[in-house]
Amino acid sequence: MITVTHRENPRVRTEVSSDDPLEVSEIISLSGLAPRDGSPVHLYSNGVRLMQSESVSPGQVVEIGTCSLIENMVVSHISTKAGRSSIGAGELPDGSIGHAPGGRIGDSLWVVRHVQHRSRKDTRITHAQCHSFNLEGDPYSVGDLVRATPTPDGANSLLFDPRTEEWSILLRVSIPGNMDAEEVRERYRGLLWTIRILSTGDGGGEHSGVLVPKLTHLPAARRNRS
Amino acid sequence: MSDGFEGSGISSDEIVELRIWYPSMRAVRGHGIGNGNHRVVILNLVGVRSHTDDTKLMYRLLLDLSNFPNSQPSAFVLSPRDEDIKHVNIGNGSFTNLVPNRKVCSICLGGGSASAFTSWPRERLTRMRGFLNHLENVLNTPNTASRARG
Repeated sequence: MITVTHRENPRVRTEVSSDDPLEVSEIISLSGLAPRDGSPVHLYSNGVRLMQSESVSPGQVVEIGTCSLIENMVVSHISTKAGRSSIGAGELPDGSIGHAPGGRIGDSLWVVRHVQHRSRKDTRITHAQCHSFNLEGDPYSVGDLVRATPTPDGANSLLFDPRTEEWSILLRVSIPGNMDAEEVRERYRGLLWTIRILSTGDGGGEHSGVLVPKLTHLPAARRNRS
Repeated sequence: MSDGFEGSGISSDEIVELRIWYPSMRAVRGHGIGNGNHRVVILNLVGVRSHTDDTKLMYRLLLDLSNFPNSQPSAFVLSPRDEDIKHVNIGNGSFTNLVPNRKVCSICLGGGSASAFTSWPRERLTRMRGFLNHLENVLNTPNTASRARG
């Protein structure tokens, strides 16, 4: 007997009957807990994700999980204001403070996390840098503010696609015309950029956008670099 | 004892339960009913492209649960876009009050499905799971005898 519990819903518990070790895919299928909506699914043993090729022996307890990357956040305050643009902040389901460019107070946003760090003022608080998208239609529209870490040449990045939960939308990134492109690439290399969407491809194809420097955090050490 | 049928829509707890099998299910904010339940949810389901092309593709759906669980929900396709849909049981795009400024495509659920739904046991989650099962079936087995397009 192999016991299967549900990672996101611990009340759910089932048993798969077998005298022999079973492969991960067999357990997922036999558990009756496999997603029916095409969502990705994994098995975990002692908190570690099992590879598809691994097998599980009778007597083991494993967890099944779908680990959605999409979270909900209601904007409670503005954490950064720069002219007419701002970054809205609110509590994420695990208690972290999410920060999403373009969020206004009261907005209920679907977001994905990029990076997170402990607050320097209070180490019990975690800040997560996120961006929001639409779940009802096309995920992004012209004018939306997203986040991405472009390639070293600052030209391309992959944008989160909430329909598949993969980072698969090609985003061509440009630099504002009033800035020195070479200098920007040097200063912002490897950082999480805030980008305003300029165009969206049909059916989730290639998107393009431009760096929004005022909403992109630039460490002090890089600010005065010549 | 109440069977919960007096409260239309779907509760957050019920969504948590359904997300075991439908992790993509989300309530759409701003469509509350007043009883604390949600009127509109979205989710993904896999179906075939058409009756002549069994390529699998992901349909992103919107469900109107205004009269659930007493009546069968209405189902609409958010994506693919109207012009890219080839499935004969998905109607042409039209405006509804559920999604502003955007056409969505209604799914034809079959002639007898509404009465079948009301004959199911008076158990909210049983009815919802049965409905989603039916929806999955419609998306995977286009019925050319009941065309909503093409």
